Amino acid sequence: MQRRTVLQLLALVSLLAAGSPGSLLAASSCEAEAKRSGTDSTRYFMVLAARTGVFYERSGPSFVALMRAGADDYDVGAVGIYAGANKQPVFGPVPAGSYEEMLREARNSSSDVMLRLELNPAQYERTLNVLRLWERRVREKALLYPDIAMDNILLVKQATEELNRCSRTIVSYNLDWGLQDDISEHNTPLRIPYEYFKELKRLNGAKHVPDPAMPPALLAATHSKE
Amino acid sequence: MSLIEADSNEPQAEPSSHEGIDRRTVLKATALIGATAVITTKKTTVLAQSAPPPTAPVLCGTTPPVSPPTRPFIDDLPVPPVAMPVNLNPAPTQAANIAGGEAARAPHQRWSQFLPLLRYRMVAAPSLHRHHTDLLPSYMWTFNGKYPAPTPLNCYGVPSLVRFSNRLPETAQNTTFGINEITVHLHNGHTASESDGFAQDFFGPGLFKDNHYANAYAGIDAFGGIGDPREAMHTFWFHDHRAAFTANNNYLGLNGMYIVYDSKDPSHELATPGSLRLPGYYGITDIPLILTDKRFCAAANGRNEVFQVVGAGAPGGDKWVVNGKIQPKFRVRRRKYRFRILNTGPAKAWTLTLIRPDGTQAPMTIVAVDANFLQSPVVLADRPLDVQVAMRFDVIIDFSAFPAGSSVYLKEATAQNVGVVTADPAPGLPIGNVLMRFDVVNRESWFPPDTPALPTVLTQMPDPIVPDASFQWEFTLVNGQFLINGLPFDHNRVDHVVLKGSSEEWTLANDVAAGNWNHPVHIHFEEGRIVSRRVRISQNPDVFQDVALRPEELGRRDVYPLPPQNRVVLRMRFRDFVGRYLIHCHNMNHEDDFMMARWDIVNTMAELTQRRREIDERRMLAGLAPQYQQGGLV
Amino acid sequence: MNRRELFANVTGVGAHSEAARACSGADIVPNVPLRTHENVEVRFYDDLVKGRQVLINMMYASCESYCPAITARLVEIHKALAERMGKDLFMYSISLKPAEDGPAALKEFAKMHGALLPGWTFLTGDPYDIETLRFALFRHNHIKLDLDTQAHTGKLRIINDAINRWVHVAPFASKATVLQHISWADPPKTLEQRLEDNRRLQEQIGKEVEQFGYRKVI
Repeated sequence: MQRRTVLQLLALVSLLAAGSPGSLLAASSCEAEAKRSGTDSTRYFMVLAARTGVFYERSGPSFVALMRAGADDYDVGAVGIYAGANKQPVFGPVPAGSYEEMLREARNSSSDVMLRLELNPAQYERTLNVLRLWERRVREKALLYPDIAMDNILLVKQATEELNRCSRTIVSYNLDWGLQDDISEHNTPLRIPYEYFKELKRLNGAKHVPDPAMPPALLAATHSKE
Repeated sequence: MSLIEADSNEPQAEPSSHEGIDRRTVLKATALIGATAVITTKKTTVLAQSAPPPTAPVLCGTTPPVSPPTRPFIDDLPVPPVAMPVNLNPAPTQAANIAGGEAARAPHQRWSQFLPLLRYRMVAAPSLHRHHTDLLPSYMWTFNGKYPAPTPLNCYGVPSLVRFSNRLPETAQNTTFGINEITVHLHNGHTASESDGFAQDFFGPGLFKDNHYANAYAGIDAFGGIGDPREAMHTFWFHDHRAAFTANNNYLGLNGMYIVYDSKDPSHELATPGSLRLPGYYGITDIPLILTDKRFCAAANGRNEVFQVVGAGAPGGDKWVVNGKIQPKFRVRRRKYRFRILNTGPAKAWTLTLIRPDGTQAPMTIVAVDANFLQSPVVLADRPLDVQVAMRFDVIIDFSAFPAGSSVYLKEATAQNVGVVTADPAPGLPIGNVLMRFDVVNRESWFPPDTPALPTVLTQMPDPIVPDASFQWEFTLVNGQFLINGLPFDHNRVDHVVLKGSSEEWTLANDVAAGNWNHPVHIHFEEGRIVSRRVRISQNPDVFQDVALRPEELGRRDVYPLPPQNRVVLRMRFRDFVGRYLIHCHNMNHEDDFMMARWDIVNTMAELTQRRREIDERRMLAGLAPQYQQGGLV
Repeated sequence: MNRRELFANVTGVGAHSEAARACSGADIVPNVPLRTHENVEVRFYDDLVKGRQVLINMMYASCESYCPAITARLVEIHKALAERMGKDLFMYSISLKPAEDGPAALKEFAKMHGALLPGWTFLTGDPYDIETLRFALFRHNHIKLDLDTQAHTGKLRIINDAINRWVHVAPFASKATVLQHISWADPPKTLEQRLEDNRRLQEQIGKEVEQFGYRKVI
């Protein structure tokens, strides 16, 4: 409880102080990250999950989820695009009912992708900031793009790029609509996060945390529908 | 499918008696002049009542919606009606009729040489258009109340004139994202500058402007006053070209097709001297396919308005529209047809293939690119047709290859949002990827018999161009602003000048440092031929690699697709007229962001030298390198 | 085990059609809180844009490349339209680096460039709000360009909220062209006024055709 409040305060402070998510926090936190040692048993995870075949552009829900497993409590949540009423895309904090089943190992690997990465506390904070900023934009109706597919591309890009801010944690793909960015060249905006996550999983398969390696409580949480 | 709806394309906002200053808001049916027997009395009666203009649209927020569902293959493919020539009052004059309400312009060049015989009136005004049986009407801005506009049919050797009248709503009544000022460009007519729809020559409601079209081949002087028949072009389109609002005004519906025939490509299929005997009965075997994409709001106030946000550019659509309808069907007989495929933008490129009932690709034969016949037909059997904005392709499809009762599909690589769960119409062809369906039937005895086999030679190319000079147009993006040769577009500033009668080799360089933007660059006034295409594969030092030209790129054209880091070298001439012309990216959202430059044609060498000196002086003042070597032509 | 949801149950933004309603300035111009170079708190739409014709650009005080030149051009434009400035025409320069540019820094920049002029306000604010504004007014709908703050200094956005008209121009175009584009967002003229403008334009064209053989400058 205490730890959670501190985290929230930190997030708030960084929200007020930061330009792009994590930028001001970055300088201090990179040093802090280096100094930190894993003394407590809390574990942190990021899940990149996406699916096709739900929306008309051969696309579907795609979001970034974060999970924290403490000794006797855990936090979980996701922000991105999910299927709302009438199976139409909606952008925002993903309801538990919509994200839970996509946090399991993909049952159908031809239509689903799920990459689960373990984070250190600093990475978790930074990516939580990113998602909180987007949560705020949704709540205040201050999205950057009117097209929610574009907002989601920004979200997944910013969230994943925070992982490498202090050190190269994952092999990245430069999703910037630049000349080398083939994914953006060949896919419609709604589908881009799916292809991006697939590419990240291809590049970082070894880092994927499979079910047996997950804290049982978190695994149970994401299997609550079963 | 009624073709010659002579009455319905009579301008509904115009009494034929007085033009321009007369501010009539009550619409009257006009007496039909030169009416043919095709008119039904019922239609005439309907028109006799005055119809008020539709109420301005109420829009639907700023988030692009998912369009409502529309069932596939419900509507028949409409064909835009033939535009009827009319008597214009006041009569058109060489000088602008300012007192009569004409917009200011230079006098028509070669007026007496090409006195207009066919005269048309195209009135830009709001109207309602229904894109699908499952959709309520949408508020549009259209010519003569129809979307797409009626098609003027012309002949080389018969000059024409189109009076474009602006009856768009006053600013205070406009809730759309368009602007109520127009300037209409005939793409790609060999047109005098004052009739070419220069982006800044727009005019507001209550005024009109006469565009004079010689309907002569390029090379008028060199070829006995009618021009070089090898410069023949047949499939044109006309559209609003108002600076900074071209995408929005076109999205609202201000465009249509314009066809010119000659002895080689007449309006029939008979064996007349010189005729290629291509499928040629407009609306029967010679069919326009006018493409665009749209997005629709949910039903409200009796309408499904087209989604738009004031202040934004034209949105990407999620419904594909052909001749104004979504996923239409078209009955075809087992014989050859000609389809004049036109991409009206605003920004989408189409990648089209013809799909058999078994899901495999069927061939299409390209006979013309950007209105110009290829030297020989090019069969597309195993690759798609890539139609960038403003490009036209005349293709022949032979439906005798398919059994009666079967359906063949025109497929687009990117799926649209159908919204109605539908099984794949053919194996491997999701319903969203279908643009339209052709339903094949046996040819009835009264239907025109098939035309002979396609000739192997369609035309000869004009004499190869030996350029007098070369010039480069470099497109870049700096600090968020498109630049051409280092400067942003300024219609008051000439960026290049050429001598009338000369020819040049132009290099178009897409150095826009933003990936995945393919810029279809359009040059007004004359067609060109591509000499080479190459792509930069690395920088510092620059390393270029040649790109093989496709067979359909070897002919004449006026839209030059420039993928990222591409350079295209082309040659063209500048004949017969002088004035201001444009080069620009035809992705209309980019065009509106001023990815555009002005180039002028002048009469004399003295003028040319003077102008080039001015250009270089201005450039050096702005800290840029001069464009021309010392002493005139490069 | 106690479970907590990380994110509030906020209604998401859906790609479904909103109920039909007229699209007005309040929908498309963000109403973010800002601070002027005189350290006054304002709301962007309500206080600065609503019902007005405005010219907006983005800059930052330490910008050394294009910003000084653009600001100089804007000073020229201000001079040309001086009698309207602060009355029915307003200029706003918004900082792209709000963390660096507080009101004092902006005031200093304006002073240095002769831009402390009536009707011209420099603005800064919370980075979150500046980013909202930047995207609303200057986005390219292109991920790379939109994340590059430098890619937003090269454009002047012109809005007339009273007639819901948005135009833009590159400040580096000629002064005549910049003024012309601003006039595209001017309050609309009557038909009589437009016909008169048309008559005058035809006179100018006539002179040019006489002199150059074609319509050259106008």
